[in-house]
Amino acid sequence: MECKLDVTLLQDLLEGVIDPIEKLFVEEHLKTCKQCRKELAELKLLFWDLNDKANYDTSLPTELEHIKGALLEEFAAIPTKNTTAIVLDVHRKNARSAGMFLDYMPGVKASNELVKKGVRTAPSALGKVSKALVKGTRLLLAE
Amino acid sequence: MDSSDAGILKIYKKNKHQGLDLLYERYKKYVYTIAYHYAGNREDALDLTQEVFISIFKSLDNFKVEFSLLPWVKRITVNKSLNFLRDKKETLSLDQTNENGSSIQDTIRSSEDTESQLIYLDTKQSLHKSIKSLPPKERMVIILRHMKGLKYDEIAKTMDIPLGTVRTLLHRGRKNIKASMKEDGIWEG
Repeated sequence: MECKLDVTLLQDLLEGVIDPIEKLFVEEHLKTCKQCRKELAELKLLFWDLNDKANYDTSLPTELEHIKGALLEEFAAIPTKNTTAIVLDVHRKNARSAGMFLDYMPGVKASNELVKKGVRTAPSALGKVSKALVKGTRLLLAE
Repeated sequence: MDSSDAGILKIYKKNKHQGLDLLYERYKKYVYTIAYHYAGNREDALDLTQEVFISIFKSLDNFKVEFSLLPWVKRITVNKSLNFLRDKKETLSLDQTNENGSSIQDTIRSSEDTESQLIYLDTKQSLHKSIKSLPPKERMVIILRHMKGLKYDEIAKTMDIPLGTVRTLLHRGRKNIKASMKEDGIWEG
């Protein structure tokens, strides 16, 4: 005799989402229905395979990196320096390196201080010259 | 480095480039695996992944820091996937001809040896093939429930469909997969 049980109830039973009364009914039914026991056994195998994470293992293609590159470029491009900025940077670095020896020359810093003090009391023309001198040394010191 | 959702958003506010980079790295696998099992092939999965991230990047500015990114990413992935195949279907007709002049219909008919090839499928291949042949919504609920382990109510929320529909789609999907895997002789011997 063909079984009339709604087989979706067997899926719900395995998923634990079956109504408690229906659960009792299905469990009783399974005791006497060979056909449903077979269906339940097959469903168990199906659920085992469906829930086995290894069955969904997927290797990530390298193209995903290209997509990231393209998207970042489109949505948040890092501002690139123009040629002028690069040339100026090189010059600044060169000036800094050229002036590095002043750090190690005795008396340079002390004389700078002296000039500064002197400027305050000196006449304005001399003051301007001294200021320029201080500026020049500072530039070489690149501080 | 702090790569939690809140951490990523904080970094994003300071440094857009770094924030988007971290966000992509955190979710690329999640998005791609759904896309791959939904679309059924690598090329479409890559197109889909790109579409999903474009959508995420576009609207990230409006995202509120106190929310978690995952449900949002999930929702966008699901919506994009369902629309993706729908759009694709519209542009693909069986009468369409390829560069050799033969129509898609002829190509399907000519592959007579398909059945003999299927005998050698292992469980993973058979499952993949069975999921691939499901109707779009059934396929998506199966992926979300069994591959991603989402609860029924989470699926309903993510796909914006009633809980009863989720149940029905799952029942039908599993029934179809079971029939297809049985046909491939997966559980015999």
